[in-house]
Amino acid sequence: MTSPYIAARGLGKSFNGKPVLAEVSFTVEPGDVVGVLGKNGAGKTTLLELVLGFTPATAGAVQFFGYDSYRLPGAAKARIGFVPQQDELVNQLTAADQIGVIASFYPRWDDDLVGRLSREWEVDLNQRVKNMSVGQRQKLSILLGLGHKPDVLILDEPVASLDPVARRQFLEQIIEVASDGNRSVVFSSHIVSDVERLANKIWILKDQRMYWQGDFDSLKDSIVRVHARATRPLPDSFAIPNALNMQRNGTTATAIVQGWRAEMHDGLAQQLEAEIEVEQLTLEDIFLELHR
Amino acid sequence: MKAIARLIYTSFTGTALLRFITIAGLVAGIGGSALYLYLPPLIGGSGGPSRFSLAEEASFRLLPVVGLLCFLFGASLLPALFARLATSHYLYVLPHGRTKLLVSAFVTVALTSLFAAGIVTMYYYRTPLSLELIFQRAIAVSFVTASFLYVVLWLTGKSGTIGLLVGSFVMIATLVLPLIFIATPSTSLALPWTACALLWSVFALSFLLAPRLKAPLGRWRQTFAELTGSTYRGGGEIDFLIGTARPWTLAAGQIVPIAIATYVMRVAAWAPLAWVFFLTIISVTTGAVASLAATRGRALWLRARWTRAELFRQVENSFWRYNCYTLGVLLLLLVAIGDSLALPTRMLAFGMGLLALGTTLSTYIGLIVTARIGWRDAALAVVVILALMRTAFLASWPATPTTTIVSYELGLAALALFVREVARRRWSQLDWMLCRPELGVRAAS
Repeated sequence: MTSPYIAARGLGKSFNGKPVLAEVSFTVEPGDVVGVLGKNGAGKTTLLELVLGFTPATAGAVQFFGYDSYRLPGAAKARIGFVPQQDELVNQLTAADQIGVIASFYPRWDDDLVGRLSREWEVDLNQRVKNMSVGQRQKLSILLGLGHKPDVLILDEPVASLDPVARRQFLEQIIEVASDGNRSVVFSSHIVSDVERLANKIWILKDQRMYWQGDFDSLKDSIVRVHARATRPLPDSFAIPNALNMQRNGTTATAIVQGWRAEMHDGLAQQLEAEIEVEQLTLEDIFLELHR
Repeated sequence: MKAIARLIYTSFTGTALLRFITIAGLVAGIGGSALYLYLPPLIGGSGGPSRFSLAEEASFRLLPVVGLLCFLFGASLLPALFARLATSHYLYVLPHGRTKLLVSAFVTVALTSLFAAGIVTMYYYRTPLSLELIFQRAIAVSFVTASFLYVVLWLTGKSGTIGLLVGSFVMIATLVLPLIFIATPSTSLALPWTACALLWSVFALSFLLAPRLKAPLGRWRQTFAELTGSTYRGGGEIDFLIGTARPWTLAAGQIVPIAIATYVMRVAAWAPLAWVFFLTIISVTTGAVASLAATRGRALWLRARWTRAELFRQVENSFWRYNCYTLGVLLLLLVAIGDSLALPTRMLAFGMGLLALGTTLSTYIGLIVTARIGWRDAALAVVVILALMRTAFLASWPATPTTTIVSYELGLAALALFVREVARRRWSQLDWMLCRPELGVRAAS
């Protein structure tokens, strides 16, 4: 059994005594593509920064390639790729020089890959960074994160400033990275459809905690929309166990249920003397229902 | 090694202009030195026979110095590159990023210093002086000066008052230290080497420990901001948004570096002559804050009912309130220094006028920055600085006729009126689309 690339236990972070993350535990195994979801201020960026060791945790610890993430040695860093939320490029340089500077830090840098991607993504390597559009700069940032073929690629809202075509190209590239089987990707995004398309593991942050983590299919099976149609009006005491919210209208009721299991279907139908229909939700629906 | 070499190479050749300046510097420095060494001795108008005209001799003499200056400024991307990488998240994930970046900065400064020391030593080649001693003196002074120079370039490019304050401190050190060791050859080298070791040790330690110092520094900055009124408390909205809310920080902060410089320079015979010059240069730091006004003014314009012309008047008033503090302190310092060094009354009188002119000119030059900086603006700024330096030099020199100094100061006053008018016109047609944050920071530097 391979050891996880990243393992966090009881992770917490406070700023001036105010907690922004608490009691977060997770692992990232080789081959995982993890999508991190959460509302603004849920702690996504803080979580990624703790994983990368940008800031010390106030509780718990993160092990990255077996090292304390706050004290990562150079060899471990060479296996990590990172794309920040806002690009951090040197305005005065050309794209080619910017790539050259970053590439020089890595013992293995794939010039062919970067050359191919820059052509496909239409990044003009001779252009000065300061003259590039926001989208172009973001593409360049992604190239800098991918060029050394990292074992773990961490991206903080990487597609926010990309147009749909560039987003699709980016997603294809991430799929290519992930298809290796030994490499992992952790990315946060507000574009839930991208997370749904790409991730095989979902982390949902809510109220400074890891509200949900697991594979996408489990999440879809676990949180469902249940429609109940009874033959007579539903009583005032009518309730569906684990319902996050429910709407009733005479003989019918619709509820979002968390922790749904297939065996609950028959029991509920019998108890309510109603016809039960279970509808699977999209990730976007699940996210919205969880934050309603 | 590859990363360090790449960073050094990029510092010297990061843009087409820098590539040109660096190569020109190398060619002029090395070529000029070769000419100087292998041509028959230059006699420089001493009356003896020479194969060259005076102009040719002057060119041969100056060529290595021009090369040195070009090489020094060829690496002017160093502060920007260093600052960008140092403040980015990349430094946390690049293998040994922090150490490599620090070493690259050190080696870049060392290379420029070696080049400078080599050229200085070359000038003494035909003298009986020990070249080894000359080289030691030159490398010590040039290393300290080059270190300070790049720090000044970085700090003056920062938008905050603290950056300006520390920038002016370092600027004084850059101006004072080399003069001490050039003008007083018998001075021990212990001071520059100690200053150099201290500077780099403190810098390296704080840079390497930066991730650990981040949290306590953040708390300290918050407390400082609360104490000095840079956090918003209601009232004084214009000053807060324009960046002139805490004039006392820069005004009072000037006292410490100037006091230190006074102490260091007390033994130098030329000190009385230099003070008007130094204080005039310091008086232009306000311009760096003013150059950010247009960018910051957008937020004000969006929220207030003023037209662009009215906004300019408000901003101008805000800057004059700010200038009153900084200029007031500078004037008091000039009087105090004048009293302690027994400077001539004439020098003090013209010096006070110059300080006021320096502050005024730099403020309005800052205020004309309402869009991308064109070559005309850059040329105007250079002309103004050179004119101020020239006038300061004339005002300090006892033999200069009074009418000459008065003419120069009147000329500067006319220039200030002209620049104010340019600023007023530009603000009345301000295009906020062309007025972007990075523009202001570049203008400040």
